[in-house]
Amino acid sequence: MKKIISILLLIAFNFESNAQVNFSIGKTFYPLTAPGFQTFFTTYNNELAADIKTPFKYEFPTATGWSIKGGYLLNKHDDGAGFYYNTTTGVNILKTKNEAVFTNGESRKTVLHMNEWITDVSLGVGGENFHFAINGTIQLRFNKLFCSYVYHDGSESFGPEKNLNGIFSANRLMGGFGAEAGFGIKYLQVVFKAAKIYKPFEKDGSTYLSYYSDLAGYKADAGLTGNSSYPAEYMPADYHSFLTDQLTSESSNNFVYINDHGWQFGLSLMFIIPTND
Amino acid sequence: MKKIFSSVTVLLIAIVLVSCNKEDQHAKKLYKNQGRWTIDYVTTQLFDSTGAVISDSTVKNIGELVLFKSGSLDALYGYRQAVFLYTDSVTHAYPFEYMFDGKRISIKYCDAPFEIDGTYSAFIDKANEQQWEIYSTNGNTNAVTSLTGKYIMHLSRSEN
Repeated sequence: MKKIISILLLIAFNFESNAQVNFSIGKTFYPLTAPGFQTFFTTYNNELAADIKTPFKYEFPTATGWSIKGGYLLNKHDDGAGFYYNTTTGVNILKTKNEAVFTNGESRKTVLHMNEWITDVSLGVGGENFHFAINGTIQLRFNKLFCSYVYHDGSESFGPEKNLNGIFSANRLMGGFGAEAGFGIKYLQVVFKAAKIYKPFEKDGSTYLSYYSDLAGYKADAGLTGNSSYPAEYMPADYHSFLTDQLTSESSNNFVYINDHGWQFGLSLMFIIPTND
Repeated sequence: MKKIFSSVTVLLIAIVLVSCNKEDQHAKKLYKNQGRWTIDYVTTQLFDSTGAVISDSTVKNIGELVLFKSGSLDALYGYRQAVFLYTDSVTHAYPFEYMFDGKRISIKYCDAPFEIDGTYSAFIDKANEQQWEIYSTNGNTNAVTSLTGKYIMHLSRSEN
């Protein structure tokens, strides 16, 4: 509800003559590349190879989800095609999961939720029933990894009896460039969009990046006991190092960072509301 | 210029709204409507190596949990104040702290004779019904080990 109100507020402030308001709703696909998770999945599969029936996939499968956006559109086309400018903001809610199943029927499950606040700017040519544009996108990303252990009776545990259980969060501002095309009738267009999302800029090595952490109080309490193994407060990249010595593993920055990247595709319906007819 | 400024302002407000703490929303489900929850039953199950139940005991009429919005001393970690109204022959009140993030419920500092401290997983998470479970295994916290025990607390919202 807050998100919807925010979008409406933004649009309300953007009203002016010669402008058109637009809303779009659509499906998003993100075949992401996430290096830290690749390392984790590979090392986890190797470490528990003797107990694994179905290993983790090397990479998270394509994340899918929904987007809802609203914005401000200028499309000056007296006859035929003309200048097209569109700035929109909204949310993208994506999800993907990966699971390793053990020979005893239990499994380790990882579900990655990616909630993105997106602002897009598109520039190109457009007519009454179409547009072609290049675009830039800025995404404020709120990622959460739900890492659980599923027992033989289907019980899904996030509890401390397994060190990797937890809800690990990482936030990051990301961006990319792409292109889009839209076709339709006067006030309704089907829009196909592709944007390359780049890895966040790194500074002084990867330590500058945000990593997946779970700062639950019970984990912090356990971490103060001095034991070398306790519920993980961060998502380890190299599982073998994590097992060898969790404390050393922490000090050597053995974290999964939020540095996924790749092409993001969107298919949406754009509703145009003229404000000066 | 004014328009750009207003747009940027609204965008920043929107970002703040979107980034509001989700944990608060999950906890609100528990503490709203006076936050009183009846503990319907607590079940302890033990399993053998094949997963078959070898022991199953249930305790009823234990009492109520009253979960407050107010933060506790560990508010930094999302903990809030609560009271366990433990019913023996009479009802006694035992304060404790709780944290709920939608998947996990952590309860600590409860001195009641009936043990409720621990970190539970939310098996049922509804507005008027909750089921929290603690799982135990017989082995290494990092290895593949089968379930050996389950502690189940089932709660329903108390009628005011």
